[in-house]
Amino acid sequence: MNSSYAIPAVALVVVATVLVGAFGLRISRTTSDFYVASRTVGPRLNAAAISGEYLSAASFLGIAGLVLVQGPDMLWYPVGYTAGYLVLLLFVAAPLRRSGAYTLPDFAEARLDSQAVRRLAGAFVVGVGWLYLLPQLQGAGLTLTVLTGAPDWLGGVIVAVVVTATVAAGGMRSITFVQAFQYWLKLTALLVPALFLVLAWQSDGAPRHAFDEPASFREQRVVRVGDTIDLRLDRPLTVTVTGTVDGRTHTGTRLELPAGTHHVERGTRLTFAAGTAVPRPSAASAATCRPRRPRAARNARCTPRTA
Amino acid sequence: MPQDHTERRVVVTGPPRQIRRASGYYRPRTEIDEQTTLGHTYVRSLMRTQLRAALTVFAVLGLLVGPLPLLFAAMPDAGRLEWAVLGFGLYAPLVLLARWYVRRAERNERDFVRLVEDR
Repeated sequence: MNSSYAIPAVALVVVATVLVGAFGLRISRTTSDFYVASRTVGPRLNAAAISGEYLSAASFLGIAGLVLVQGPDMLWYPVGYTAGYLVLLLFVAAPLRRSGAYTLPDFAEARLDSQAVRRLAGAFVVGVGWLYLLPQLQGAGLTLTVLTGAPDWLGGVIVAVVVTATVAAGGMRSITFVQAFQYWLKLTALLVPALFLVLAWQSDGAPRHAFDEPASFREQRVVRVGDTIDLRLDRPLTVTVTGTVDGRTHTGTRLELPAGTHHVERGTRLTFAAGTAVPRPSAASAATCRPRRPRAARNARCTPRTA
Repeated sequence: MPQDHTERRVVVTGPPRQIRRASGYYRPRTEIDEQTTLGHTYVRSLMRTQLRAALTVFAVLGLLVGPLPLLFAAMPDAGRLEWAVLGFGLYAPLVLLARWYVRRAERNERDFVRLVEDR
């Protein structure tokens, strides 16, 4: 990407984050505000803030990269996050809410009546937060390096400084606003390019060619040509013919057909060796062979009849 | 002075007397407030119901997601299916499960309140 746009864009997001944090700062007044936003974060705001965590660098960039490199198996990761949220709802969030507690250590203390468990729960929260934070900082550094050529550590430092300043000044209230704001920002940043990519993909008519390799026979196959067709070959094709090709009759002859169009009479048997590319019928005879709707074209090609 | 008696409310502080229970005032709410064995049983039953709802949803989640790796292993060529299921299709049932659970838990709470209030 052009770095002349990248730096202002990054700066804009940082400034917007600080402004939203400052907005929370104006509302934040008491100690309780600072630690737990006075325990009055509404469900919509909190949902946006938590979903902001979901759309983190890990899922925003990491999953996309993993799918690109390793294929669709990597889609298990976001499924795992989401199923994890469901389990969290069942066994943590719902009992927590019913108990009247607001934070996990609150809950641990209320349920087990032990100050030591409360401290342990607090330590776990910090530990999990730390594990979660490391990839985010790494992602921030990597992103900034890719976009602007800045050194590795700069992205992490910027994120750490901005977030620490926001939290230190405005506490829980500010950071909830910031998370909610970033959720909508990240969602937009995901959906708008996705929308344009889909549009570009559609208008390009790429689906047929973009992903499919040229089809080839997996094993040796005998194909009986039901109707007289013209085969258009982009590359020379070796095939064993019983029947009439280009006006000449063969019986079990191994032919080396050069690139170009070849006329195959009906009733001809063509034996293709394993690994041979499937030849496509030329445009004239294609109408009978190809499905009309382009959307279905990926699965259904001219299906060979095996003898 | 008589008018004062009818208009002014006086807050009386002091330990609650036990006469209420003796006069047949057995409401579950009192039992729960006073943390008797019966009250404990009421609360326990609510907790059981909620836990059962949670475990039901968890079991459905397991049955829904668990067989998917086996399915994909059985059909190695089904890349499109994998995209459709993991990328899009699976999220709707997860949301519906969560929704069902929340509704169910709220209904359990309402039922419990009704039980406690209407004796």
